[in-house]
Amino acid sequence: MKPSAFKYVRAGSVEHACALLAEHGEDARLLAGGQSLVAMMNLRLARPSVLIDIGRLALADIAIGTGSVRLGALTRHRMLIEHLGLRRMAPVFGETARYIAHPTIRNHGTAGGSVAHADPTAEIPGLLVLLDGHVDAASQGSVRQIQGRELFRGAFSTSLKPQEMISALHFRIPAGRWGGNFLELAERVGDFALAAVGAVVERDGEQVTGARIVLLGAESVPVRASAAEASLVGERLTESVAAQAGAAAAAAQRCYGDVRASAGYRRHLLSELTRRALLTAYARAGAAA
Amino acid sequence: MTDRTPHQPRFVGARILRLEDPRLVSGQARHVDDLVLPGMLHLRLVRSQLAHATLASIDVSALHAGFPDALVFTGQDIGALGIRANSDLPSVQPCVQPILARERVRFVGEPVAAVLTTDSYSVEDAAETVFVDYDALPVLADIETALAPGAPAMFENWRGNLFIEQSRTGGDIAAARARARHVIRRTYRNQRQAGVPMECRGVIAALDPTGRILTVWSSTQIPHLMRTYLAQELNWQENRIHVIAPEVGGGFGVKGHVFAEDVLVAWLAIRTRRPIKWIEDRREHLIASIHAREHVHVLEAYVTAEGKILGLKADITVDVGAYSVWPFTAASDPGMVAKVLPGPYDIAAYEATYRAVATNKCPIGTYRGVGRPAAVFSQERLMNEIAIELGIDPITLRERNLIGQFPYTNILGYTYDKGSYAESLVKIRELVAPDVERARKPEKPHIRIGVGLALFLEQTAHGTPDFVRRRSPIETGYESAKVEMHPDATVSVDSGLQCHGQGHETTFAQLVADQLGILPADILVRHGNTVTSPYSVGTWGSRGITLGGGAAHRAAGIIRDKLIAIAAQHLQARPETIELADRQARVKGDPTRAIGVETLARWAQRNVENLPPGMEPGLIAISFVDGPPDGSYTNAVHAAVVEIDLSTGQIKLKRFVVVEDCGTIVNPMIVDGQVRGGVVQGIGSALWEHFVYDKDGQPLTTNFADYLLPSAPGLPDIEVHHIQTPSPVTPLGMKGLGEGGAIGPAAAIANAVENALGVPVQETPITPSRVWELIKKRKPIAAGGV
Repeated sequence: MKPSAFKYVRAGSVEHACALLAEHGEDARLLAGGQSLVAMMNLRLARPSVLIDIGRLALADIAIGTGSVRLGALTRHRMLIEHLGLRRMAPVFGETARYIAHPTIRNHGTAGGSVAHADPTAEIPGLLVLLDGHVDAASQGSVRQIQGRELFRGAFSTSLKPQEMISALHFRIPAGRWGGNFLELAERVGDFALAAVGAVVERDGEQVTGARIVLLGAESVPVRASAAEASLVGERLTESVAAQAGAAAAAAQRCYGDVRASAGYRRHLLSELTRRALLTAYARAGAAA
Repeated sequence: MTDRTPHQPRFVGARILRLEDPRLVSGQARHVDDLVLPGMLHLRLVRSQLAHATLASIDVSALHAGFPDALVFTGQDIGALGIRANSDLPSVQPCVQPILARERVRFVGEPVAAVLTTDSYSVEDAAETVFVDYDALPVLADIETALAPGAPAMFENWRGNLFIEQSRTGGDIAAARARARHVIRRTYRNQRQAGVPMECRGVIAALDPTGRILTVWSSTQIPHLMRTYLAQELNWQENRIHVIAPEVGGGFGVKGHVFAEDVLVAWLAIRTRRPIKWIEDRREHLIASIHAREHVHVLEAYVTAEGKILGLKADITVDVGAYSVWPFTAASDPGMVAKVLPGPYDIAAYEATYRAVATNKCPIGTYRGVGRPAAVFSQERLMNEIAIELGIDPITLRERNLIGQFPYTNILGYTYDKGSYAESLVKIRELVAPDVERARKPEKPHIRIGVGLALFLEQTAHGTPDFVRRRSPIETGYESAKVEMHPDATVSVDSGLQCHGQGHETTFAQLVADQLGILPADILVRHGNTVTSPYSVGTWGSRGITLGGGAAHRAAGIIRDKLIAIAAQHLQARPETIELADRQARVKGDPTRAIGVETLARWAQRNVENLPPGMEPGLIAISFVDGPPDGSYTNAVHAAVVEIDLSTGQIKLKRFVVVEDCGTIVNPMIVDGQVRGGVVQGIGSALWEHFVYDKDGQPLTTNFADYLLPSAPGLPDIEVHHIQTPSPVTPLGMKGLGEGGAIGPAAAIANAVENALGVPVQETPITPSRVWELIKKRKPIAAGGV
């Protein structure tokens, strides 16, 4: 359980990190919180020859604008729970982050790192897709935006180029009355999810004016239940409407089976968690000022 | 058994803090990996990547090119050395596990080559460059494949893939069947697990400069057995091998074996004349130390209309993996089940067939409970199913079958000493009454509450006859201690046991302090060192306090008698009128006639002219205590309260209650800790831990993201209640308790799940996925998630 030999460089700035990435290409990996990468290196599942430590860059700011939230790439998961503005504006961030592992891991792990790692059931990628987000991908001399839904290619695979690093994450928050909910089921507290669902519901009076649903555990990447979302617009979100939407969202998914859970069980969970998340998000939207 | 009990026990039974904890919790404790020797070489093993294959070739050219200073050894170098763990029972098919694989590999992780360099990092790089060419063989990945007609034999000259197949019988099973009103037949399965102590294995071996003395530091529970095995296998004189188990960070039975790596490291130290260090990493530990469980039991109970079990028939199959482990052998788990299945019940006819099946997986060894968690799972699930089938309350059914009088000799001839089976059931019924009430009236439509219990007993502190019957290399079951009082009246206790969490340094000090009238703080208990302690078979089998503690108590008693004899002469009093207390020898009822223990200790060793005529100088004593022939039977009942979400399959353990009886309690805090730790492991068996192989024998759960251990957020407070029924057959009435906590939870939790869902649970672990499958077997559920 010792990593293979690597060179360690501490980046002094985003530009420096990008220059190092340009220099070393695919041999290099960025070290942010290290909560996944270091374990993979010790198991020799990852063998970077150069480790570029960006952990001390000033990239941990949280900015809340009208209809948007911007997280610096090094925002620690814990800050999503504790940040006062987020707790007021978009408590679904904290609600989601509480499912990430354990306190010590949340103290170290970063939003950008989680997105770049692209674990199929990781919470932050799910949130990015739920909230129609995008990332800033910095490379030497330029920054491009990658939409969340285009970022995730498969398990542990993204459309980031070897010379790019995520510098910030952007999330779109509804402008009107809305509520969110994130639910996850795992064998133990802090485990990777068997299935998880995020929901955002906008409402005008009793009527749903917008809905977003993200499913984790259906595919190797977070997926939106677009048809179910569309079916809710204009509806009163009753128990039976929520149950139908849940069933519809899950039925459309292939789902995967593994040693933890069968595909059928995952599909069932996605349906049930969608039902619950929609009802909670709808009720929260109703209670919102 | 006559034991002179202290006049007034002050420390036995007291809640004193563990003396060993300050160094353990402050990081001052020193484990094998902390030991650094000059010129030490680090070992990395190249391990088999295939479950079953012949070794075509091992190519070390890249190793020599890239790491010119590295040393490499293969099975061709080490030759016929092996782990030989066979017994002479008639059905046994013998086998040898090579120290390094030679023609063939039989499980993923089996050692194939040994690579040595001067540091622990480069040796991993170097080992990666060894190229092993395998010719794959058909993989025996499970019991069905291994037992299928025409399956390839695991070892040469074997017929079928069984290490052993034996029967145990008592009474007239055919008559029981004929008289029965009900025949209840069920199949139960327990999954394969890993043992997972916090510290993995580790071994260092070094020759002294003369080459005469081989010292082996190993994270082991059995230092003397390791010395004996190494002496046999390496053909060394036993007095020239020293085995030291320094601080050992947990064992749970896993470290109660001599492994190929232990022999290998010792052999390499002799061969290279350099100190050799091997520290196992977690992945190695999970795939290639020992595994546990993986049982299939088919039980058939012959029951009267009133629920009295007339007879029990059992067919017990255990997938024990690729090799037989030393000293407990491949027969250990299945044999244990066959032995203990009658449990606390009065069953007049019994027939058990047990077999150990060879497969291409990591060998099964002893892990906390050894067969009993699986046996109790089957036994206590069966009791519940009988109760349900007959419409009888499960506790009442158990009461109707309980043993009534002690001592009781069971159908296999084992004699149980006194226990509190009936009282413990009464107590648990009271304790869980509110939960039983709640379970009857669910508050939320999609939540169900269930209460389940498991009643069991555990044979502990078994003596030599029990091991002789097994015919396995363990051979014997006594324990020993050497107690020495120094001239300043401080005391050293050298125990042949090895302490890896049991608290011996505290409990043995309590026992000895009471004997000698001194304080636990005056006593230093040392363990895990063959140089300083008398022969012992080590720490396992819930024997430590009863036999090792009993030996310390007896050895201290010899010194006590000598101190009293010296004092009697000085005080001009009869010995029986003298007591030792408060660091004094004094005449009972006359505190003015007293002499300090320190003075007596000094006289005995420094001013020996003061000793009574003819008395030898010195204050040192050794005692060997063998266990009662059938051991002493600890009993307990565990109760679990679960809450199940019918719409997700999520299961929450809301409450766990233990009522246990381990006889005389030396330190209640340590008993509570042992029980709670065991229960947590049992909960792991019930809900989470599962070592999974695929059809090709490839392990799928090789790290802690995939192999799910119990963790604090998922656990309720564990309530522990005690009944003390001292054993009439052990020193001070003590019974063993180290394993009991782990034995009951799987059965109790499964019974609770059955109670919640109305669907029987036949298999562990009870994961959310499995709960969901059980929910689907219920009567149809209304749409909308109930």
